[in-house]
Amino acid sequence: MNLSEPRVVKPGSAAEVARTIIDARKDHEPVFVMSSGKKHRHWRGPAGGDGLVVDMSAMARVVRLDRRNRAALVEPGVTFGTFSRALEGKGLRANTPLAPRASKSVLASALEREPVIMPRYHWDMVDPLMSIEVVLGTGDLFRAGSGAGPGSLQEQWASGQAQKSPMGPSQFDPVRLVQGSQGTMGVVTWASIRVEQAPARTDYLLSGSEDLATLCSLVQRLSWRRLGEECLILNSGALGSLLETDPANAAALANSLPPWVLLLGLAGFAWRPDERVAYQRAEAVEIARALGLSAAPSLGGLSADRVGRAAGATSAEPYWKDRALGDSDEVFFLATLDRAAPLISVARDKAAEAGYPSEQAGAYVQPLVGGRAAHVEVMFPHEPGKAPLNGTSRSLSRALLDAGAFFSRPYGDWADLVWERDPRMKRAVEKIKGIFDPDGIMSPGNLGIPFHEYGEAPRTTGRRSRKARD
Amino acid sequence: MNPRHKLDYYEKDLKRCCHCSMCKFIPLIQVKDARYTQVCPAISQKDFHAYCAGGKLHAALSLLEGRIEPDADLLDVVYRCSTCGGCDVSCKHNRDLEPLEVLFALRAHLVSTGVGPLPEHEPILMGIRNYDNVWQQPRQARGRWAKDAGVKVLPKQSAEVLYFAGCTYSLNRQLTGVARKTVALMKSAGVDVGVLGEEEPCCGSPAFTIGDHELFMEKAAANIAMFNRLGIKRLVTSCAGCFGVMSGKYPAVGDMSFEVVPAVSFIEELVREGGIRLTHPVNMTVTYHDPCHLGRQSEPYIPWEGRELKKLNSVVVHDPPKEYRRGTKGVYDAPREVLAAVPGLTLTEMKRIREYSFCCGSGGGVKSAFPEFALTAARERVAEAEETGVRAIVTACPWCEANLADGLAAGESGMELFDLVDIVTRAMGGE
Amino acid sequence: MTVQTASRESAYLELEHIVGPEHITSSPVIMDSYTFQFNADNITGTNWGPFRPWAVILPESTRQVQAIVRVCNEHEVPFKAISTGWAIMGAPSCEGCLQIDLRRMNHIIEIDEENMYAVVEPYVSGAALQAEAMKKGLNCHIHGAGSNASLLANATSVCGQGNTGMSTSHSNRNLLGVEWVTPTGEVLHLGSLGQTGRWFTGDGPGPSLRGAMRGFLGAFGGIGVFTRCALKLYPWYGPREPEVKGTTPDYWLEGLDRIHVFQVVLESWDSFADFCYKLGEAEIAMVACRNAPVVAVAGVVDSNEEFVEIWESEYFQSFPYALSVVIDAGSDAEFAHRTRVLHDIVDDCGGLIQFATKTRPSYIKYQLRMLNWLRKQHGTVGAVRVLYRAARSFGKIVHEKGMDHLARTMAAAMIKAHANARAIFRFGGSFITTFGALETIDAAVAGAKRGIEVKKPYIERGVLMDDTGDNAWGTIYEQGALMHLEEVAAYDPSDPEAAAGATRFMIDAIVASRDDHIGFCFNGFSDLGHGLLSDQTSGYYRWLAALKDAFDPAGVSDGGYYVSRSEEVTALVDGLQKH
Ligand code: SF4
Ligand code: SF4
Repeated sequence: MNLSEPRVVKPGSAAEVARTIIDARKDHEPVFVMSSGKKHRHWRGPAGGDGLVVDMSAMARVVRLDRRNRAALVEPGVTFGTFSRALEGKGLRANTPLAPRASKSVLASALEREPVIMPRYHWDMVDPLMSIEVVLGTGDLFRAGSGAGPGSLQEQWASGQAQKSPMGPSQFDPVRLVQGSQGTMGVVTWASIRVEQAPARTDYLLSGSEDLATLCSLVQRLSWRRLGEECLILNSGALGSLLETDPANAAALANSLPPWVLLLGLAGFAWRPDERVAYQRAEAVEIARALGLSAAPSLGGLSADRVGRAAGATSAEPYWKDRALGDSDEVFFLATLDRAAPLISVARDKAAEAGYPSEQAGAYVQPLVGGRAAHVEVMFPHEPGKAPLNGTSRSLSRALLDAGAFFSRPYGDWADLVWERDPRMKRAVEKIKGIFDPDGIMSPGNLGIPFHEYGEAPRTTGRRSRKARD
Repeated sequence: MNPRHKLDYYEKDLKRCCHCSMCKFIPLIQVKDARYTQVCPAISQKDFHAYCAGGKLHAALSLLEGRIEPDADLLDVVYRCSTCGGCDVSCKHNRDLEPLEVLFALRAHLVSTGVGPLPEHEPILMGIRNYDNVWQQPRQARGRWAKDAGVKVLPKQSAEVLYFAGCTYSLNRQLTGVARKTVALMKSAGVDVGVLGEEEPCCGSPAFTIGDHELFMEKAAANIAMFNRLGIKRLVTSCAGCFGVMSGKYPAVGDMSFEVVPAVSFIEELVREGGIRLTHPVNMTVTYHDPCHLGRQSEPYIPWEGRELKKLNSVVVHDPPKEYRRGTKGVYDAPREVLAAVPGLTLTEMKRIREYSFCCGSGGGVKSAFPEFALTAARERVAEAEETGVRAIVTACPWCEANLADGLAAGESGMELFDLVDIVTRAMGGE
Repeated sequence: MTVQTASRESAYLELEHIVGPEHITSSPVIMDSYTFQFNADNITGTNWGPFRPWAVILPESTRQVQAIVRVCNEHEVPFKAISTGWAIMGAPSCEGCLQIDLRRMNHIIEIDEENMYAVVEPYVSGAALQAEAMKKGLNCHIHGAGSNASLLANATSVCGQGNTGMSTSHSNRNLLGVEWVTPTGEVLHLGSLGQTGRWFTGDGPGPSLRGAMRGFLGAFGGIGVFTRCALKLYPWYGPREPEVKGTTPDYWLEGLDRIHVFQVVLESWDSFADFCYKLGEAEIAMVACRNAPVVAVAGVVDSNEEFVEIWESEYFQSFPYALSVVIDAGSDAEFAHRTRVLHDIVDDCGGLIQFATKTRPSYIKYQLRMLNWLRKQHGTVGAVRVLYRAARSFGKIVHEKGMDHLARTMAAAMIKAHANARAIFRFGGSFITTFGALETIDAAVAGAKRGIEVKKPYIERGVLMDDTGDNAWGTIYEQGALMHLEEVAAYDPSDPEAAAGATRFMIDAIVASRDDHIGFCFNGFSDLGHGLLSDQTSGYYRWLAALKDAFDPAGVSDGGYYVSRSEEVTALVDGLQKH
């Protein structure tokens, strides 16, 4: 067996996943999950080929679409590409991340708490994830959220349910414990996803500014007035890349724009859509005006519709973040909207110190939870194979942490940084892991929790056990 | 309440209390500020649940069921309460229960079983018994305030209106001016008024609130008989405590051939009808403190005897229908209307007023038994008044005046304190 | 019996040292005030819970709470925290328990106006925060218990349904940063709080420990003490300091110019559900709350006599498929749009508006429809009789208080949640609530229908209030994303037979909701609930118990209304199987 190539299994059902985990547990073999069969950003597989990759791409059914209840039940292999096609013509739309890769798993995205572009439908950080079925690290199949029951899915559907709630069952919310765990608790075999009604019409507006803070204030005021569906801010560079596949065109577009651009989509639905859009639009324009901004269907020569369409669609290849120079590194975190601008400055300044041309950095501010928080992302496009920050990314992250950035999704190095700051939280997470994955076989190393740090029972590492077996 | 009702009369109420804690707060819709949510001075200070009205209902049930023995802790819970009735208003905002009546019945139960009251209350009761006043002053002292007032003295003379000063306005030197000014004002309006001089008895209210219902019944019955004999049409009193008990409790004791009127309402009537004219500006901003006994506790007694029936399996109704006293019919508007009629004066309200006013902390025997409790409550009320930014607190109750004065003295705001009649006298051109 | 051992004595001294002697007691009279709880009768048949606390302690800070919990661990003293503390789940469920009364922790730490959240301590009531939030143009979600209840408790430890859920979601989902003293006495700062000291999110890093602390129903104090939390605030478009008019028990709010109530009635459960879905998608409502006819009447009368008289007219029961809708708007144009859409949807669903803040001339069509429905149900003569009786009983209120009385009372009650207790406790003094799964609108309606069937035999036996069976109260959440309808049953707790009947009704309801797969009901907590529901619910019991083991190895956080530790669960399940 070639140790540099991990073993990959492609289960076709939850039962097969369970069997795989149970076997892996017996063998003390680390298990890594790949939802859509592609390695996306932040995915970590077995180090040195040691371990098993569970490729979920064969489980790719949209099991159920429920227009009345605005719910979709999907398997892990369902990608944004297939999902958007499935929703088409059904009167539904997904609240997706900004121009996701077509090959990205819808379920994985929700499990990772990736930011979504319509903050008004994002009532809680858990959204749009609702219920899940998961094979835990123990090999047990378990459902969480209201989809847990009583009764099977079919029985629940018969009484009119649609696995709409992420709460429960009973007195805990396991959905929240599995979400954000980077595959360290188990393998999710289906998830119900909150979807939204498709609008009868949408008017998009753009608002440009030299000053990010003013645009963030605009978002806060719009949020208070509950105006808008899509709502996000990009810097001109990132916006150029989002809209143009060709780097030169992207740069030209960026140069024609103010440094920061807000996209706002105002939708009308089944009931008096034109009337709704009209009053909302008038108010949004007025709110912007009060801040000295304009909000209009176009900005310079750029039409807001074009931006709106691109934001909600899957990204053409190459992936928009990689377009400028072929690859990109990102740093992202959560902050309140009023902290977005200063934190982005910290990131850019630190990058500049490391020799990165800060004007090249992209930036993206995605309001979440109805405007109460924001995903803030700074992108450092670079040529493939080059390290843009010359090995200073850790100190950049630390500087951000010190300035109040919250790394809620601590991938890679970030995990150590955040646990260093609050080791009690790490111990608490380990307790949960000790329950769902007592042998520590699920994605060891992720969340910065190497295998030997959790669990009570004496055990050996996967690597050693493999060797012993061999 | 009907003082004849014993604690076990309320057993159903005790069992139907739902521990909702509404009795700790002002009616919730009236909460305008997070600092002023509380209505109960007792729980505000002691924090353990037993100190709120609901907690005392639980104590009463526990006692009736023999779960607890009457001990010093029970006495502390029961008597560290100004019997202000704030709880009663808030409970009855949602429920048809009688928490305040239970508090009184519980005290009466403790007194009748020899457990209560507290030693600090004994002098008050003794004073009522022996001297007909709570201050244990000789009877002769009582009439002194009216000596040079040039007013008729009943029963030797007769008058249409009896002015009843009450123990405190008669005997507390700092406060006798209120009685004098009120009588002067009545006389200037041509009211046929007389006083009882040294014959004026104690109304019995402190005996009632402390729980000596036997003494109270005795006093109330004798007083009603005497007032009836006087042939007066109206009894006017400046004392909120006297008014509260005469309006809210006397009718349960005996028939009254006269009307009981608080001085503030009488003055309001005189102002409205032109009997007195408020012409001199009193350039001042004030706030008004509603005394519990002039406000929620003065709501007229509503007689009811009957039985409880159940409809729809569990819904309790009464035969004959029972009307609950919810504290809404107290004297709230009269003082405000008088103040509104004073030229130059501006009234700014506190956050807790009228039926959900916060007690000054003086009633129910706490001023004598727990002076630090009374002072803390007064400080809270003074702080609330201070926050309105006015120059003075106006009120109309001797107990509130004495206690708020202590509260003011303990702080540094420099706010003044007036009885309503002080303001009216000034507005009439007097001092 | 009180546990008194040498260890207890030294525990008491240590606790006293933490808070000072005036803030701890074991005096029986005070202990009993914590033993008395509503719904205790469902367990003991009396007003008293099964266990009197060993002592009650009043900490004033997180540091004190932490110190208390550590003493409890050291001396194996079970503890149970309460804040505003309503219902038996707040009382100890075991012998020798220390009740931690969080009353002194009553501060609003922060209202972040721009980022729309507030940070509160346990004893901050809905009324307190709402008053302060409204001054800043914001509002908070207030739990169905009413604005007397603790917001923190509702967000961290108990269910969390509330009148305004349509626009203010659910307590579970409104939680941001959390400060949590775990059963071992460790202080956890969830979400951004632990990393940045700011409260704006409670999830992460990595998995969200919010998932370990409360779930759908809350852990009822079984997993430590929550000492501070941040809550989402929502826009408030009404006056910053709404003027209260009237006097108790009849208060209302003035100045709600762009906040109007509409009592919408549909002709069947099916059209009721359709209406709810459409209303949700229209995104126009601040409140969409279903009050059964009994509750609607009880909320507007001043006495039970009045209630019975109106009820016996049968008028309100003739219109059971009703939803109280409050429209709010931040501008005149929005208000105009929203009210137009509401009327469109009512007409589209063949419904009617029974009363509203402002009655319009066009409502004559609704009155005709009302008459028509009455005729269908009662025949012409019957309809006339119902109307006559209604006019005689209800007409009195209208005459005295004016036509808009109902609407203004309802608007105030929905927004301020000050009278939630009135409509339910007036029927006898206690109630029990069942069904109530938080799922789709259709499932909520299915639960409401089943609830009526389960309740009827108990009404016939005379133990539960005769409300026709239908007292399904609930609301829509997040513009139609979720709905819950709980079947409420009122009874007189001073009648032991009624209390016992209520308990049996609850168990029947759990079984019915389970066997008909109508969603996870309200009563699925404690070992009893888990025992009845877990097998059909993905076997969650074992995982929940494992969570308890992990966070509470000494088993000191009183879990009687939560879950036992694994070993006890295993023994329990074995025992059940044997029987
Ligand atoms: S006395 Fe009234 S307000 Fe107080 S707890 Fe009991 S029912 Fe509630
Ligand atoms: S009478 Fe006043 S002090 Fe006594 S319990 Fe009621 S509100 Fe509290």
